[in-house]
Amino acid sequence: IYINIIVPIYQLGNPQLRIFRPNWFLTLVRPGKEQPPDTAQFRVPMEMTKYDVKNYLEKIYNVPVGVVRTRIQFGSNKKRNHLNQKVKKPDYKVAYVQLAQGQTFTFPDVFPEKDQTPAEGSMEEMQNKFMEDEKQRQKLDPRRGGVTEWFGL
Amino acid sequence: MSEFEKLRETGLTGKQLHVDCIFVLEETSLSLFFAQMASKKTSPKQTTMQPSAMREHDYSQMDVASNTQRAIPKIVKENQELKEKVADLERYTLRWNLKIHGLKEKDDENIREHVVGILSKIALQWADVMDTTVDTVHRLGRREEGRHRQVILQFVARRHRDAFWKITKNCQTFHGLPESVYTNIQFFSALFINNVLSHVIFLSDFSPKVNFYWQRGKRIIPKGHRKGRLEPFRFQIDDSPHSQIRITQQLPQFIPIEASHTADVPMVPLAPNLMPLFRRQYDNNIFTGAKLPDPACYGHTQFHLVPDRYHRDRMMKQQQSDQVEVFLRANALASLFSWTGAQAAYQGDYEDVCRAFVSQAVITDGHFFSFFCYQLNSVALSVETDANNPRKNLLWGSQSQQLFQTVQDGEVLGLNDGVIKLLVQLLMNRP
Repeated sequence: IYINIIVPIYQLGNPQLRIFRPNWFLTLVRPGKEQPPDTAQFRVPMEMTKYDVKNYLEKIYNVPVGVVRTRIQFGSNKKRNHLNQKVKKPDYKVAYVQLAQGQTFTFPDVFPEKDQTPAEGSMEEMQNKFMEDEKQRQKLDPRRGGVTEWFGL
Repeated sequence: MSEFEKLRETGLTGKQLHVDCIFVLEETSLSLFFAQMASKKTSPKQTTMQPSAMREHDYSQMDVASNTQRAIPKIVKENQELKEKVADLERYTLRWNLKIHGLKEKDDENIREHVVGILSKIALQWADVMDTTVDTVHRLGRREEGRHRQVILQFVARRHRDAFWKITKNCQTFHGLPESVYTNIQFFSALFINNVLSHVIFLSDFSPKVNFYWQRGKRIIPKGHRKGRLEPFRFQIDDSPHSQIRITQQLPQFIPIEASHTADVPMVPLAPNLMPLFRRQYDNNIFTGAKLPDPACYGHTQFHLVPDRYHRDRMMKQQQSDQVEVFLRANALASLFSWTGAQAAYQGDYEDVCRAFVSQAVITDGHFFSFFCYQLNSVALSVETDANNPRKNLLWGSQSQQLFQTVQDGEVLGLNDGVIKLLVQLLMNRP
């Protein structure tokens, strides 16, 4: 493994760094296709290996990891900008982590549906009511059965 | 005195005359012959006569002192030639024979009938003509206590022997000793032959290949000239057990097919490439371990070794000790399913089986043993045939038990008899 960071050199009086934090960051993503219940999907930096991911999760986050499978997703080079140059989308590595000890994981719903009804006596409620009344007035006579106005003798 | 003796007296030796053989000629022709000899110039080509390869020497007439030294190398050479010829002749006649080891001997046995019965079971297609095909059968050597003599059997025609030999070739313990003049058959164990149900033949394979192939579900082809079209999902299991035993008759069912309806099976609705065991599927093979004409088409027991990757100690190092049992179970399930499925396919059951196929397996890593029994109740694997199929395939298995505690200084400590009993019970399971 090569990590392109400069470790601060020890000089007399510095605190001794006993914890070396890696410069890698994992991103937990929602799986595009349906995954088995014990699998979590991460985007990992390209330099990480399966063993790196496993140790990372076990040591830093105390997650019992069974097995890790990785693949590299190619970012397309097909799109062209207004100067007709090819635009590359960056490649990234995806890791599928299977959790040990029978644990399951489902990706949580990050943007839940909010109830749109406004609070009682507020401006939004009055505005919504006003808009609804306007629309009701604009509608034609229901006895015409949806026929437009310009039909007729 | 014959003419030749007269000639000898005159002092002409064989070398001058270049006569290599003696044959009895009539008096008249002999004199003419020698007249010709004397007149012509003696040259090797003209005068050597060899009607047969054998050379005879009239030793009694030779002068002992001078001719013995010259005769010895000739005699030695002749002796060797004779030996080779005899060996050749012997080998030639033995092309009609076969030798059987390990056949138990009983008092007042009709060895011919016994052997003919055994051969008919091995080659079922010639059962009715086996009596006429086998010429003589006899035991070799003197009758002794505790020793089961070898059996020699002679066939009427060489091609019968060759064809029969071919059939028994997939029997592992066949030896073809190049030096000996006989060819051998050895059955898996004479113990099985002389059981009460001795009409069942056990054949064993070593490192056979077992493959099973089936299709299920539809998928859209993502790329290629057939892109966008529907194609069924192809599944293939390729397995290579350490060894397996096959028999000529089906093992009895453990439970009737109807009783398996109540078992519940975990449903996996996901595509197979999300499972860790997925690999791209190329060859579509179905193979039991022996080809079609083999009479032993039903499986009995399979033996598997645990690969190093899933060894107990390695799993312990990776803190995955609970996965050991899971691996053994998965291995047994896949192997036995593919084996029984292949047996069913070889019997012609593609849609659904008429009777259940039963097989057993032993998985071991030398120290720990686990035993599994599998009953295949249905081969309805595609979505259409599986719609209303209540039958389930069942696997019964044991936890892995250790055979011994430790081995110290050549002594085995804590030998587990239960394991050995289970093993023997498994192997003794007969139809």
